[in-house]
Amino acid sequence: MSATVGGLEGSEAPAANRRRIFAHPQDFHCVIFHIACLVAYACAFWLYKHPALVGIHGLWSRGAFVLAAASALGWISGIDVGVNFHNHSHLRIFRSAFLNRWFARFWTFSAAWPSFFWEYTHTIHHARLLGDDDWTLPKQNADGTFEQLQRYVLAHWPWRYVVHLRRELILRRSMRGKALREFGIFVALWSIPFWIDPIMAIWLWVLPHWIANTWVTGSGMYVQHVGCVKKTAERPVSHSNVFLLKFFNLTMFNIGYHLEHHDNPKVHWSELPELHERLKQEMIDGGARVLPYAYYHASYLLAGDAGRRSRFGKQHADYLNTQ
Amino acid sequence: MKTAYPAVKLYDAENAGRGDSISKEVRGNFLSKTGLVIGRSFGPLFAIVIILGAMLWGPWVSLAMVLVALLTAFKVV
Repeated sequence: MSATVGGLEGSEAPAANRRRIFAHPQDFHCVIFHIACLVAYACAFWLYKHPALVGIHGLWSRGAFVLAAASALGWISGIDVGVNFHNHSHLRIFRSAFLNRWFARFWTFSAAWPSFFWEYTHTIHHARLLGDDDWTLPKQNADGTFEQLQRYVLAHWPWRYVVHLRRELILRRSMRGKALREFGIFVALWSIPFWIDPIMAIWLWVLPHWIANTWVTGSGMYVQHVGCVKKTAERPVSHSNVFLLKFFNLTMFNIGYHLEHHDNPKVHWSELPELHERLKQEMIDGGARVLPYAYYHASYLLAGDAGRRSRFGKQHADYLNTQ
Repeated sequence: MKTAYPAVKLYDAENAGRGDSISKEVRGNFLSKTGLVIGRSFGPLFAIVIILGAMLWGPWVSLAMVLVALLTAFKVV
């Protein structure tokens, strides 16, 4: 017997429902990812409050649980906001404006960001990419190179962000009302774990958010544009690095196709691999930097000494310009 | 001095105009579609295993798994 809903058979029914709710068929995956992240936080909080269940019998075993959970939560929160919400900021995932607005608020609070502030920051990044006024990226040395990776990730979030966002959102009369309202909603949501247990919130909420914004998102921002130059007619494809590792792009919403993304910010994240294939020859001819690995290995190389850093730019074998 | 600020509507940004006709359809059968959802949620699912798994194997094994995952990522991902 086949199940029918609204005249549609079997698996067509949920697919049709998703089409009514989501702007793109694969936006459903973004929601699954975010909900799974919130479930992971809930599991960690619950086990922290029931230590006997996980074999916590003292300070050391509690420390081991906190370190394991905070690292895992920080890693996924960095992806959830830095990549997953990032997709939503370019192309809204729901058809309903109300859902888009409120889901965004319940999205970025789990990485210590008001959604409006994050979107503003990312707008700056796209509009001013690699310009003198692009304060989202690492500071540049006199020779145009980026400051050291460790310095950037530790100095940028939240310190430099606070300075710029205060100046450009809170102190600007035209933005202040909306910025303060969004900040208030964020504070109300972000404070929830503190109501449950303030100590737990520090270890399993604030610490993961620090890891997410510094070591995950911060290093990601660094490697996406390190060694790049502002887009010009002479060098149109040298403003971003491309990372082609398939496992990475599968689990990171295709963020490795970063050059394609900056040039085509309204192309859906799931369609970037196909766009990449179409632009492949153009990238080879233009001398785009295409790397066979991904962000984690890139960060490992760039955080090392001069010898390790020199291994960073090794071009993917299929993208060598032989002319 | 007045500074020009970009509008805070990122989703209005223009494309270079080369990706307009790419197919939106998810290719493959039910199994491959389900695999794609699980694959894309690898991170949070791994985190849930690390956290809930501590009930089975204790916090030290979870910590060791995180360290191994980190070292592997730095080397190969």
